Amino acid sequence: MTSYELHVAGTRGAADHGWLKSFHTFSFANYYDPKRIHFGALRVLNDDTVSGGMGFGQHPHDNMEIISIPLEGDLEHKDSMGNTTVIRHGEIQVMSAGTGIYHSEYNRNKDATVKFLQIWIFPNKKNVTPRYDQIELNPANRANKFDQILSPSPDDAGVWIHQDAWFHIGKFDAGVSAEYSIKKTGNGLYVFVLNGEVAVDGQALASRDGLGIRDAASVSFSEMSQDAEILLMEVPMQL
Amino acid sequence: MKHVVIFGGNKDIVELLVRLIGNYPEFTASGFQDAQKVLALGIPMDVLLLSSGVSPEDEALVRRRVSVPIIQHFGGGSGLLRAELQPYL
Repeated sequence: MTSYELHVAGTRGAADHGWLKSFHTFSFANYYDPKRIHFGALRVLNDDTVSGGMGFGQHPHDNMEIISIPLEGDLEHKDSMGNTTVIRHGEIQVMSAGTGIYHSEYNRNKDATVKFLQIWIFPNKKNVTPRYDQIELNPANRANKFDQILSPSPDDAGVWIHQDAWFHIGKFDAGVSAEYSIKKTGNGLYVFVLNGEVAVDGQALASRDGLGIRDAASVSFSEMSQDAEILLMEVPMQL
Repeated sequence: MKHVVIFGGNKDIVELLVRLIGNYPEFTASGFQDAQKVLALGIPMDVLLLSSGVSPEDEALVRRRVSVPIIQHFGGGSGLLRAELQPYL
């Protein structure tokens, strides 16, 4: 039987470090709630706002698939694999941390904030060779439908990771309905509303609300507000 | 006070984890890259934290020989560390 786990935006863990304001859907850093550790392979969903010119100094990662989705502004990335890049709104970045990498992320602009989602997925294999990728997404592909932005396959649409996970993003006009079919039996779906309002299997969600759905074959989306923007993260529930 | 032993193949990350855990008032920490040193430790070990870069053979060996709780640490840095250790306080 399908079950639902609602995370209303205001119940997320909040952190204010001055230069960084972050909302944690799952336990992270000083925010700890034993009932909110992960949703299957989805371990981290951080909604970060970084002040102009500020950022995360060089720090390590290992054994994690790390996805960054800028929502506003430009983020400068440097890593120990020799990559120096800027990721912008409309792009998606992925790092397979594997045996270990170091990286830094800074707001490239001194006079504007950068907002981005930082998503960590448990990998399906440990100690892989670290890798990095980023691609530009076509906003037209998400108009009134879900556009795939991540998958387990290098040959499929979007970036890829070491996990049987699929991400989609959609931006909808008022009144449009949509449906998502689970790609792999046993996977769950985590719905995160970026903007606007939507009913997910009849459950009303507002901006930055999250809903974890288990044991569903498909999920329906209705009662969209104008420009409702939704991120779907399909992930394995068994680690 | 609980003592955490960190076993990992990436020297920089192991050292960072030792420093981060050492900053928690409830824990002390030491780190090693060699399975034999982990198994030969004469100090009390309350939790073993497995970091990255450990071979499957070494991981199997320490899992067989160590009787304290073993945590697989993911992420490399401070983000998940507190949540991983909290249940062992």
